[in-house]
Amino acid sequence: MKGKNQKYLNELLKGTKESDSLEIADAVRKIGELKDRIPLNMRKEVVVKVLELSEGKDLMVRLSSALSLGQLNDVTPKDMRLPVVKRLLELSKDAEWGVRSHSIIALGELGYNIPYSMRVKVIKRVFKLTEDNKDEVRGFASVALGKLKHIIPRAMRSKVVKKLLDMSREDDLKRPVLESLSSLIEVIPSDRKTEIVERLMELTKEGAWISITASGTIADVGKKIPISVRRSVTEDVLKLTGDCDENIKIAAIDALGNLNIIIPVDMQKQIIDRLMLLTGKYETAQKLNPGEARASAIKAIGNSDTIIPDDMREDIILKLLNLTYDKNRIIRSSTAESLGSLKIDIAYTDRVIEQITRLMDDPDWHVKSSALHSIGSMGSLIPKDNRKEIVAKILKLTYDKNYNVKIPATFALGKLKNIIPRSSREEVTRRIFNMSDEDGLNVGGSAVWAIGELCGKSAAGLWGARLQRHSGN
Amino acid sequence: MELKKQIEKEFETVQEDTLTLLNLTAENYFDAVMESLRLMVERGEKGVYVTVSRPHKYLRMEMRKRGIRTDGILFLDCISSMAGERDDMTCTYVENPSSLEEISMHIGSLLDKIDSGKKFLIMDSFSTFLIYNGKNSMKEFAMFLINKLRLEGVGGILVILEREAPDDLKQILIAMCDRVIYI
Repeated sequence: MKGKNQKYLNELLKGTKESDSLEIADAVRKIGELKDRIPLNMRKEVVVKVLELSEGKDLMVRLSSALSLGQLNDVTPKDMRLPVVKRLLELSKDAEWGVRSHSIIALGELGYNIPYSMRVKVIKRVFKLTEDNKDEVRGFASVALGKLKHIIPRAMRSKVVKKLLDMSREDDLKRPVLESLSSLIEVIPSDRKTEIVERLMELTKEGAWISITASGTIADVGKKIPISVRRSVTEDVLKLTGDCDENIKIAAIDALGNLNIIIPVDMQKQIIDRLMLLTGKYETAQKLNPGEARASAIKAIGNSDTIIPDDMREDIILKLLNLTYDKNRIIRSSTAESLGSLKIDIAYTDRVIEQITRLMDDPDWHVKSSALHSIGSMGSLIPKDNRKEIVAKILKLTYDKNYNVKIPATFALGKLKNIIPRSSREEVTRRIFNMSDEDGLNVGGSAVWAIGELCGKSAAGLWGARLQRHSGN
Repeated sequence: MELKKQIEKEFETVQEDTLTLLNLTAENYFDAVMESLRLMVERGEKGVYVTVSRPHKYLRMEMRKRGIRTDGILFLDCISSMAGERDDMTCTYVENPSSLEEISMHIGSLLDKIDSGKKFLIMDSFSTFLIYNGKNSMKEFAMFLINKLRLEGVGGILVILEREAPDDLKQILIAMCDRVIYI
């Protein structure tokens, strides 16, 4: 693989010497996309080359070079970080807004790799670009500020938040600013956090695109939402689950599932009731509930295990068991996923495992894949009498042509290591060991992980053995 | 296996309205996209190519070099404007890749313009879109796009780079597409 990468990279480096600027720009972009596949011994040479190209006359080449410098962040040798940052700062003053935008995006990618001596300078420059004459540049600058949150000097944090809150009132900048605000919440004082959450909630009431992004952002902020506003946030998101715009509704349901950690205790039952209602085909007698919303509600229930009241668990499990027979494959797949995430009462364990095992035979690969993910987390709950049969079924699925079935089947075997019957162990280990040689994307990796689990050895050691075998030693 | 043959084999079962997620390594990325496009064109399908990674001029040049007909393809170029280029009347330009609303609107009108029963859309690529857009915006955009293609019975090839998409976005794409091809 290393030789193949080197050959490909050499071709790209050759491409940077072409006479056509489009060819050069393309080669630079491809170099950036390679990232850590660039062999160690060529990294410095590559960064130097991209720096050189970033000084070219052609706009597309400069723009692509700026972007690549950001993409190469993790592979830039330490002694090259300073020249990279300096160059990007220069590019951030380029007369062309496209180059300024790309240099800002790249600076945002650098984060902690920006040398200490340059951090304040970078933040000040990015902050300045929030006042650029092109809205596009301002938007990218706001995103970069969110990404660089950890290196923003304490004294500047409030100023940055204030700026972003102001920008969040400008129509064209709402969306980029939203996500940087939620990112910054981690590093700012409490009173500012409240202000941000309140603004995010206001934005959930905007048009569909903004509202949906805001709901997702609220969910990401999660436990960082200050206690004082948790109730109002929960109430507002709950209300949005009834929105007539289907997309807003789904985003709100997803958010509810991810917000369980902040939901006040006295609202937990109400939330679970609402999610249960939303798993049905009809929200009310007259109002049809779309399949995607039902699937989101099912997943949200799976994510809300910690807040499900004890007296509701039985109803939920029975409902989900029923949904494993739904005609819609999205519903069956989400149900298989959620069943694997919930604490199951002993009285229902056998039935749940029986249904998940049945779903491993589903004609749809999405459903099979979810069922395999879930069975892997069942472990010792699987009755002793069924273990051999279930392991055999999973083993068979490791031969499936579809990687989305094959890979989770491999992981499931690794996770179930403690319950694999002695009589099946050798066959399982042999199969997985053979799979570690397969070239398919991630198959080898999943198999090595599973072998490590099964044999109690480190995966790294097994990779070593595999590589030795390949190199003929 | 040679990449071209691998693509041909993978696409054997891809129907006209199938939504396919191409999950590619950086080394195979461009060739795999071009070969997929070739197959669609050779099947007589017409489509929209949404490019965020490379200017449409470069794509046209590459397609010509590879002997892929370009007359049935409408380009939506989301990157050239940032380099000051938007002068080609045969292409639709978007000011920058973070204008998701504008991109969505153009996708709709370009698909409407195609005078063929067999239409497809190539989205090249979600990974590059993620450079310019946040994860939540991209999730919504992905859902919008997939729902639109399904509703109109348009086949789609959605491209991601193996390690360049957050897991939750990748899971959404995998769950919503009919096929996932790893190359």
